[in-house]
Amino acid sequence: MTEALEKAPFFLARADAFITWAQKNSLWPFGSGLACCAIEMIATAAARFDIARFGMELFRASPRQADLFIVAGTVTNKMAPVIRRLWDQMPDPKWALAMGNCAINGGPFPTYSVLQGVDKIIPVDVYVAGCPPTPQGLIHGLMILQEKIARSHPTKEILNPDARIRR
Amino acid sequence: MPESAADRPELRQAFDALTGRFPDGVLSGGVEKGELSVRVGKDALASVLAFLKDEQGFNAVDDIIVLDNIRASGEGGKRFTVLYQLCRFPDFLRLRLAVDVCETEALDSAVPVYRSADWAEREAFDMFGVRFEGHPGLCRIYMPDEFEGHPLRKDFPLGGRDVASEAPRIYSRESDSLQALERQSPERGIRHSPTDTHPWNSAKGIKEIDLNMGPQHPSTHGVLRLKLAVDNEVVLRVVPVLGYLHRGMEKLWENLTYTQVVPLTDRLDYIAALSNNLGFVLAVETLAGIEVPRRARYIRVVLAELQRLASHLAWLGFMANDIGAMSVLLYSFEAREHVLDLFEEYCGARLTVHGIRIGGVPQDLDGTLVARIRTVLEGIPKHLADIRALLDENRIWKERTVGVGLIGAGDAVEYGLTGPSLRASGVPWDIRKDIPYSSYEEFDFDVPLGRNGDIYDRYIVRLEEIFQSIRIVRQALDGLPEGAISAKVPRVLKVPPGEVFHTIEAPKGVLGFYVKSNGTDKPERVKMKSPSFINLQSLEHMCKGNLFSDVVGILGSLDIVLGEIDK
Repeated sequence: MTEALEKAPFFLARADAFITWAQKNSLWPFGSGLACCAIEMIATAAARFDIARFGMELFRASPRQADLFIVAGTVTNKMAPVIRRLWDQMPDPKWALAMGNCAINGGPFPTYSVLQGVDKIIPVDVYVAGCPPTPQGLIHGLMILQEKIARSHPTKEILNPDARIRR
Repeated sequence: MPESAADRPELRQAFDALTGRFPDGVLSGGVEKGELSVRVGKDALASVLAFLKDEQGFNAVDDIIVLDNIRASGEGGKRFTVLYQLCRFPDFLRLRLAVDVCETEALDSAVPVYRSADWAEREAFDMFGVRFEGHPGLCRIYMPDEFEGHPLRKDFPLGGRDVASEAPRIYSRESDSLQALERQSPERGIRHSPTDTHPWNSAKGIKEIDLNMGPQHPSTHGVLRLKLAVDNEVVLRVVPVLGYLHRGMEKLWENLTYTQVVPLTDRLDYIAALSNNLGFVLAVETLAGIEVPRRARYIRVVLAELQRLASHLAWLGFMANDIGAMSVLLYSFEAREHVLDLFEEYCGARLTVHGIRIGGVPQDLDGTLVARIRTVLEGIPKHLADIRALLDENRIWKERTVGVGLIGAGDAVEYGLTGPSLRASGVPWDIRKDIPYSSYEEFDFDVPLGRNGDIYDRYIVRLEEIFQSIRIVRQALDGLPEGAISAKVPRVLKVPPGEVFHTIEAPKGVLGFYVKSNGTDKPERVKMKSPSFINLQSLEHMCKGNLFSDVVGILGSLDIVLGEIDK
C-alpha cells in the first residue's frame, strides 16, 4: 500500500477545503433579470468586465442547472411567488445574491405592489447595494460570496442533513 | 419652447367642425399650450370619437388618462375625468377629449374606433375602476386578478392595504410550500395535462396547444409573460400578460415633489434613462413656463442622442442574442461601454444617470469631455462595421429576419406603433422633425425609413439611426453656444395649475408625459405614455401565422423594456 502511494501522484486536503474550492470557483448563476439591475448584470457578463475570470460565465436560463440565484431587480408582489418557486427548483447547495436596493428592501419603491426585500421570501447570502450596483460592485459581491463559501462546511451538511435546512 | 404650435388655425377648424356636428355633445373647449381640449358629454363620446377619426383624420389615440376628482369635486361632481389624447398626422395636431364619469357609470369603449386604445382602457380599469362597455376583454392588466381595490384612486394608500401580511405567508420551507404557491398564483402556465380530453389523445392528432412563456424566460426581455396558442409550430394567438414589474410609479410620483420625480423616471426605460429624464423635464418646464438656456438645450441633445446610440447598441446585442448570435452581444456591449464611460465622466453614473434636471443640466460639458466624446464617436462606426460584417449578409440572420414579423404601414398606424418600428414600415413620423423640442429644429439629420416592415428593416433603421445620432451629436458639439447651463429654478418648485401633454422621440418610440398640476410642489397626476406598452399591442398581429421560434425574434425586434411597460 505505502509502496503504491509513493509511486502514484496524490493530493491530500481537508474534504471541506477541497469541496468549497471547487464550489466557489465554478458557480453557475441563474440570470433572473427582473429590472434595471439585469442590464448591469449582463454588462458584467459581457466582454469588458468578463465574469468568466471567476468561473461564473455560465449564465443559465433554467433554475435547475444553476446554484447561484442573482436576484437582479425589483421583486413585485405579483412576481414573488414565481421567484420563490424558482428558488425551490434550484438544486442544493445553492446561494442567493440580492443585487440592488430593490431586491434588498424595496429600494425607492415603498409602494403597494413591490415586495419590500427579497429576503422575505428566500434566504439571501450577499447583499449588493446600489441603484443599480456597478459591475465592479457586483463582482465585489460575488467575491464576498466566494469567501463565504470558503468558510462553509459542506461535509457537515452531507453528514447531517438537518444542518442544510438551518443554513 | 417652440411657440410655433401655439395657436394654429387648424385647431380652431377642428373645434368648429366638432361643435357644428355635435352642438349638444360638446360642453366646452379651448386651446391651451398648443393643444385643443374639448369637454364632451358621456353619451356623445362614441360618435365624437368616430367622427374625429373618420372625418377629421385623427388617426391615433396616444393615451387614455384618468383623473380622480375625489378631492376637487366633493359630493356634487362626477368622480372621474377620462381624457383621450388624440393625435393627427401628418399635420401633427393634438386634441384632448375630456369626459366626466361617475363611479357607477360605464363609458363606451373606444376600441371599436381606435384599435390601439385596448390596453389603455384596461389600464384605466385596473388603476381606477372605470368601466368601458363594448371592450373586447376588460380585465386587470397590471395587478393580479384577485387584487382588491384600484391603486391610483386618491383614497388608496401608497403602501397598499395588505402588503405586510402577504410576504411572510409565502415564505416557508415546508414541503407543501409549492402547493401553497400554486394556490396563490392560480394562473398557471400550461393549462392542460395529457388526459383523455386532451387533443394529443384524440384521433385527429394535435390541434391546438396552449403554451406558456415567461415571466422567467431569457428572451422575454425581463419579466414579460406570453400565453400562446399554437397549432403544431404555427402561432395562432399571443396574449401578453403584464404587471410582473409593476412598481406603482405613477402613484409614487403623486407623493413626491417635481424634482424628486426626475430620478425615478430613470427607472422606467432603464436602457435609455436620459430620454425619460428629458421627456418628464420638458413637460414640467412647459407647464411651469421655464425658459431653458440654449447651451443647456444643446447639452441635452448631446446626452439624449448618445443615449439613443447606447440604447440601439444594447438592442442590437439583445436582438442578435435572441436569434442565437451571442458574439454580437459581446461586440455591441463593448461599444456601448464606451458611451457609458462618457455618462460616468459626465455625472458619475452609468445606467440610471439622472443627467437632466428641471431648468437645465447639472454639469457643463468641458473641453476634455467634448474631446472624449469626439474620440468615442469616431470609434463607433468601426464597431458597427464589425457587427454588420457579422450580420448583414449572414444567411441565418437573414432567414430569421427577412419577411418575418411583417406589419404594413396602415396596420402599424392602426395599432399605434411608434419609433423605429413604425418607421421600418415606411411611415416617416419622427417627433424630432415634426414637433421639434429642445432645439432639434437647428440640426440637420435624416429620418431613416424601411420598406417592408419586417425585422430586417427594423434592424437597418436602427443602425441608420445610430449614424444619424452621431451626426447630431457632432453638430451640437460644433455649435455648442456659450452661456448658462441652467435656468434659475427655485429650490421648491411650485408649478402653476394647469395640464400639459408633452411628447419626445425616445429610442423606443414616442414617449409622452401628461402632467397635471394643482399649484403645489407635488403633481396632481403624472401619466406616462410609454412607447413599449403601445408597441407591444401589435405583437399578436405580427406573430399570427409565423412559426413559434419567430415569436422571440419579433418580440426582440420591437425593442421593449418592461420597466416602462409595467411602470
